Amino acid sequence: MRSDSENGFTFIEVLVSLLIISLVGMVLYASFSAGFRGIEKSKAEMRTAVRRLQTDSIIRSAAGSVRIPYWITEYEITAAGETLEFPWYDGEKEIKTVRLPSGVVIDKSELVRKDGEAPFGIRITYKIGKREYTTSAAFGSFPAGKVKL
Amino acid sequence: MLILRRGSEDGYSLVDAALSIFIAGVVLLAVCALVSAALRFSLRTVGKIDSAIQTENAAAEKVFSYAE
Repeated sequence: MRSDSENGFTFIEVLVSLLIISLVGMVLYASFSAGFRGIEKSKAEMRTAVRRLQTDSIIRSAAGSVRIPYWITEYEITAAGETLEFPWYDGEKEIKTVRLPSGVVIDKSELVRKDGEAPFGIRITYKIGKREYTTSAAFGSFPAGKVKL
Repeated sequence: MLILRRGSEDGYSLVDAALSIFIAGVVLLAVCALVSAALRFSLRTVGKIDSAIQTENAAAEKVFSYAE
């Protein structure tokens, strides 16, 4: 080991350089790793948010198209997995099946109604991953359901 | 060992090393700032979506409360 040289580095200089390089490398690795983890998490959050927005929009639009005549008091919707079945969609008696985006699982559905009257809305609870969300939406027939034409 | 002289044919100086570390630090800061901005943007978007859905739900619940 030479203490000073004009032709190259001393052993101590090489050791110190390696130490600095490894420290900088560790800091860079930790930062990039944390950054990539953050980006992955944020991508997942965005994907969930977009799926939630799609689901909410589909349910709300479907509910808005349901027009139940006021004399129909026996009304049920079928909710299973990713699909919802609405009778009296667009004022027609036939059942309309609405499919939610993939990865969305319906947990429970509840009709909002008063005894002896046509229902006026729904509350759907669904899961995306482990998280649970609720959408409340009024039926398109809601005012007509209240007013006897 | 060269300490302060730059541009020498003998090799790198301490100034070169400090400059390299400084540039690495600036690049690191820029990357961190970019990642942090992207995260903030996505969180804000998620918050906006959440608040829009909450507003719609609150409006529907209000309608339900009038009817019930």
